[in-house]
Amino acid sequence: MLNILTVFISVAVVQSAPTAAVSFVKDVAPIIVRRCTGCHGEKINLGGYRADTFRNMFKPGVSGLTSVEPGRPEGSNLLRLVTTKIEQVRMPKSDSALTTTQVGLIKRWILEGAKLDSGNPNTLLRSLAGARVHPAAPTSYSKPLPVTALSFVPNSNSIAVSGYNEVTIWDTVTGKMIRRIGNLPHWIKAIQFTKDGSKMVVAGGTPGEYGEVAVIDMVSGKRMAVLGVMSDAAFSLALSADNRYAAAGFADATVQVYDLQKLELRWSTRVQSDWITGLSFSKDGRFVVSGSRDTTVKVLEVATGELFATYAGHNRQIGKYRGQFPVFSAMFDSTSGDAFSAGAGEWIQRWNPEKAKAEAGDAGDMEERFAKAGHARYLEHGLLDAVYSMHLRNGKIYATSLQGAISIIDPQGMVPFRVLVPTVESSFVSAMPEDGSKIVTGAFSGTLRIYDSSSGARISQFVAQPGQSTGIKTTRR
Amino acid sequence: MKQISALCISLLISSMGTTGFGQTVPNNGLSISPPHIELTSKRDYVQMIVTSSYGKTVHDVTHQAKWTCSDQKVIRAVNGKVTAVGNGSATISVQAEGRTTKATISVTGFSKPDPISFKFETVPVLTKQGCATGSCHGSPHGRGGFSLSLLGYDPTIDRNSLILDGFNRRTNTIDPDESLILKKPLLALPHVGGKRLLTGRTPCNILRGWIAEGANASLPDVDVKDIELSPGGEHTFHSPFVNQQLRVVAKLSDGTVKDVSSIATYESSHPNVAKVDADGYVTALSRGQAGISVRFLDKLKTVHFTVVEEVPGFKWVERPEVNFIDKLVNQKLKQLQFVTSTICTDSEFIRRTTLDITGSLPSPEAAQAFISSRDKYKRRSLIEHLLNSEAYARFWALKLADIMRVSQQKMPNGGAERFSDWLVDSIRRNQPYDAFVRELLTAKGKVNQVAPANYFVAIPTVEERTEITSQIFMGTRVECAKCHNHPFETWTMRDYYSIGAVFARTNINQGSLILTNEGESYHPTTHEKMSPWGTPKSINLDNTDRRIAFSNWLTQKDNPFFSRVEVNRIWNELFGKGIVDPVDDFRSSNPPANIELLDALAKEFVSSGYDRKHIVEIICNSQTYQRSAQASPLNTADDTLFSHCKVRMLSAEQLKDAIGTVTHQLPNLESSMETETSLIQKLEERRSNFKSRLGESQASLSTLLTLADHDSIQLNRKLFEVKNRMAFATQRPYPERNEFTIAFGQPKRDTACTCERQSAPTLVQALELLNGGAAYDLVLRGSVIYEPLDNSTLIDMLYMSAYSRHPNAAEQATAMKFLTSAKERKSAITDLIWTIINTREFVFQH
Repeated sequence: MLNILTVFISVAVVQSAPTAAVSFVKDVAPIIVRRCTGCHGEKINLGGYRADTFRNMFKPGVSGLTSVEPGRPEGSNLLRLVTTKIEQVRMPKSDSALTTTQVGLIKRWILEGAKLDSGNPNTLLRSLAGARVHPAAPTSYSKPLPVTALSFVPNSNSIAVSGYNEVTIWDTVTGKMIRRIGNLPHWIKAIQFTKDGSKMVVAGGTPGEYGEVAVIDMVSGKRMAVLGVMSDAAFSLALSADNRYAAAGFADATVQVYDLQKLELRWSTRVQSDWITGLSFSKDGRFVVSGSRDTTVKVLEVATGELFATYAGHNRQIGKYRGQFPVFSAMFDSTSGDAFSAGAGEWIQRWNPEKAKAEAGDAGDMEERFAKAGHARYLEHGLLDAVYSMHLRNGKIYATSLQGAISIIDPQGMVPFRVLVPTVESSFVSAMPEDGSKIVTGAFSGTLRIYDSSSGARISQFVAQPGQSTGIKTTRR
Repeated sequence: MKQISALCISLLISSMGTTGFGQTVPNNGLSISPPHIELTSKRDYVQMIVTSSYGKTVHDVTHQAKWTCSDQKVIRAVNGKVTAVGNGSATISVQAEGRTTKATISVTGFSKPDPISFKFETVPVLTKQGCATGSCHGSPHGRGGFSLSLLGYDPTIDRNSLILDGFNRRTNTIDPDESLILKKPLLALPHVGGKRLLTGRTPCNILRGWIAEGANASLPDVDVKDIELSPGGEHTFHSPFVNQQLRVVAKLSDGTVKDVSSIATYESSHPNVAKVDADGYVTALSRGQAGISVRFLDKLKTVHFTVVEEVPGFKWVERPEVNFIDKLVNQKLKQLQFVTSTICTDSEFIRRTTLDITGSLPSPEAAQAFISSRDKYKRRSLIEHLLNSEAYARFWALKLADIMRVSQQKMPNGGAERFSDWLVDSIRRNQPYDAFVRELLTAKGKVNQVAPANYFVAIPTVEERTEITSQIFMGTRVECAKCHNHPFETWTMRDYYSIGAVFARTNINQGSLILTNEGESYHPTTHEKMSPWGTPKSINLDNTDRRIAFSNWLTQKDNPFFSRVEVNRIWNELFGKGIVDPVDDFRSSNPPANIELLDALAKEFVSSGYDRKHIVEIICNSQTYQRSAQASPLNTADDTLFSHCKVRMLSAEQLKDAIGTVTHQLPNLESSMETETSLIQKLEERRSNFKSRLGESQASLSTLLTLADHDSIQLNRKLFEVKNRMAFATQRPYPERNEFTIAFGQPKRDTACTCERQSAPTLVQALELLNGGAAYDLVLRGSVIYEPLDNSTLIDMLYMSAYSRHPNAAEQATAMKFLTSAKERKSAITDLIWTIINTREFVFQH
């Protein structure tokens, strides 16, 4: 009776099935990732079962029962567990059951031989699908979206602003939106333009599950290449001075360098342990510095991806500058080859990669090194909060804080800091055009504030959000 | 089947109502609380509670009752939780146990916006779901890069973490379901903390709703002033009624009153006795007492439940009660259906009491005299006698010295001696405890002149002074509040740094304890300068000793900690377990085993003028103290209510001296005064000898000669040893530590916690007793004392010395046979002593 029923059901399923085979990568993997890997994943594997990769899905858990038997849904414990009527046993445990459609897809996939249609069986399922196809941006935003990325479009008055599934471009003079570049990740964390303005590189993703670094052709407004995909969002971005290379840092502490001409990955490394928050190429293109929330700044060789030096000045146990400070911004000096790094703490730190390497040493000379002050210079910035962005223009450092304050710091440390704009509103990011005439902060409320970089006077402000825009407010006197 | 059993239960309940309680008990009907509700917004709700009462007994029927609403367009009620459906008014009628009651409800403001409050809803939910615990995101550095304030003590930290620190990574206001903060706890993404949210339940709805409304995290300048628990206080479950629904109402500083039953956090102190679910529904599981702690933001309250079960075969036996202690202990035992053990024998009594009060075993002579005495009041007299002995003062000073960290390292240059002498003297003259504490905490001057000042020498930092003073005198472990508000108590960081401010100007400088004109205590996160605890605002802080106001606050009659903590410490010393246990962990989530008893003892302590000796005396005279260690099947399960004496191992110092007593290697304390006097006399003789030889004019020279004279030196050394009882471990406030005492748990005195003294049995202890050098040496020397005695006297003496009793016939016969058949008598005696000190009857106090 049971057999007949099973046959009947399978026949019914096969008959009603569309002709195209079920794709594991497109149809099944997303279900497994969303509904199973929370408990049966890389971090937790309850019941001794992991479903984080295609290969692991086939390995039985502690029950010893075959989890997936190609061609035989009835012999697959996975299907039995997601369909059983016994509430205590049914997966996902203490959660709603899979939908009939989802169960149907898994069952058909098993019936059709449980194959992997593309990719490597050892790749994490959440990365297996490769670059995602992103939906269009909402026509207008229902809620204000905090600005998380800003970049001036080269040789223009317009500025690119992070949106939801898009980058929007605004005229800073009129406060009008002039362009929307859509079908991008919903969370955009960094935007960079090539010098000629022909390409835009965008880093972002879906926090906690997907990261993407994409190149957009500015003529068509279309994504022309995806340089990198990761299992957590991309956080930071930098282009080399000659625009040959792009570097991206991810939430999972990976740093990747891509060849912007060939549009391919050069190398990928992971030498830090937290979000990569700030990246910058040295002027000679030899190094890329990578600042992380883990308090370290690493100097990596662009050619090889090898670690050249570690700068540990943001994590000092003793002395005047002691404290553990996450780093949110890092950049190179335009002339000297020195680097600047900043984050929490009262100082922007100026240091040299070569000297940092010489000072690093090993455990043997630890005490001696601790006794030394080190070569770094600590430039007081006078801001009350952590520094989230830094720019080097007109021979000065412009630093902006989490509370939207702006301060001007002498890179040589000869002139005391000058607070240009006091605390305004929570802001993650700021931008300056090449000529350094203006500085723009992007606020938590979605508001852009445009200041004169020498007087600190607010030129104008507007909400840079589709559907939330209130128009320009000019405050020039 | 399910329906039938449900029917049976309802029949049972209704029969309880009519016949079970009989006609004699008035049927008081149902009461509903609150009888009238005004819901003022769309999401407003009230958890109602329905109580059924018969005479004096009441029980909760909130979940059993049938709830009927007069207008389903206005309200809905599930298990007593009344939620709004639309504007209007309605009546709710509740039926249970064949009776009915009603409540009126009005709903207004249903159509006005009712946004979720970050501070008063989102943050409590993060605590309720376990996100903000100390082992997860509430730990000082968070988890997985995401940190929250511990149990929501600082919503600003939570706001920053959720929104500002993560570049808007964690919340997604445009597509709320895509928020990391939801996907992780829902396990749509891997989450080390596992599943923490269930879709469709209130906590998930609040978190999701808050994001959907725009993740507004503005923090109003409003605080929770108080939370009100219904029912509060204490309750008793009598089976078959084993449930109680709780209601939690938060009173905010702006006057708002808000039901928070669905978002408060509930925790049971004894989940095996009573459990509580996420909605505040308590279910009793087994006989005992449990506290259900309810937290809402920084407010914590506890409701206490006693679960009574009918114990088969239980029959309360009335035994005479000597004082209020017996009355209150028995009251609790009777309620929880534990019988009391009988009164201990005279032998057990003298051994137990002498050990407890003086630290030593009674001498065989004292034991013999006591057992054979026919005095009706001999127990009372013995207690009085022991309390008036020098040994009492010295032994109890040792206990204080433990927690005040007395040692030569911490109180150098003679400080330990001076401080110890001061402790002994205070106890000897029975200085009122409040006066003792005031003298201690306000001491100043040269530390080699002002003995109590050494208390501050041993704890040099403001933090140590704050923490140790609170632990010793307030029974509170405030150290948690150094970095965050106390997770299990209402102690806040403000409290910690206010107490710190009391000691911020107390400094040790060049051997003097001085008060400086500067030194403040700052709140580490708000940087606010804290005003010292206990000092009235009107007082100019610059010219006062802040410690005086604090000591006055501490020792005033209505201080909630001071007297309770001290009587509990005394109780713990005499019973091996505190009424609040551990003794220095007073908090509402660690309730006293018998709150009436603790309160009555504290009251007695206050009204006696903080007379420590009096408290020891009334406890020792109680039948509770004098109960046998022999448990019966009807009280063996009790280990908190004092139905029988708790068997416990002698402390390291007690055991060391006990072996000394059995082997007769310790000077007799009863005659030590004589020895002291005779030594002083001899010294005086030598001095006058010199004096008479040299003549009156050479008085200073004769003193010098006396100091250098060999015999005088010997006499002086002897006098020092006798006076300071150097032969004893229990008689010196800071006895040295050796392998033996370390093995038996003598503390290093690194902390102010009585828990530092280890009482758990270890293998090393067994080895020390069997093979240890210290014990071996004493036994060998003891055998010389016993050798001249005839066998019968020897055995009797040994038993009397070790157990304060005569051997019984069987023991006598075995020992006799062993001694007479031995080839070598001396080694047989050694073996016999050896055997005795390795028995449990010897090593334990019972």
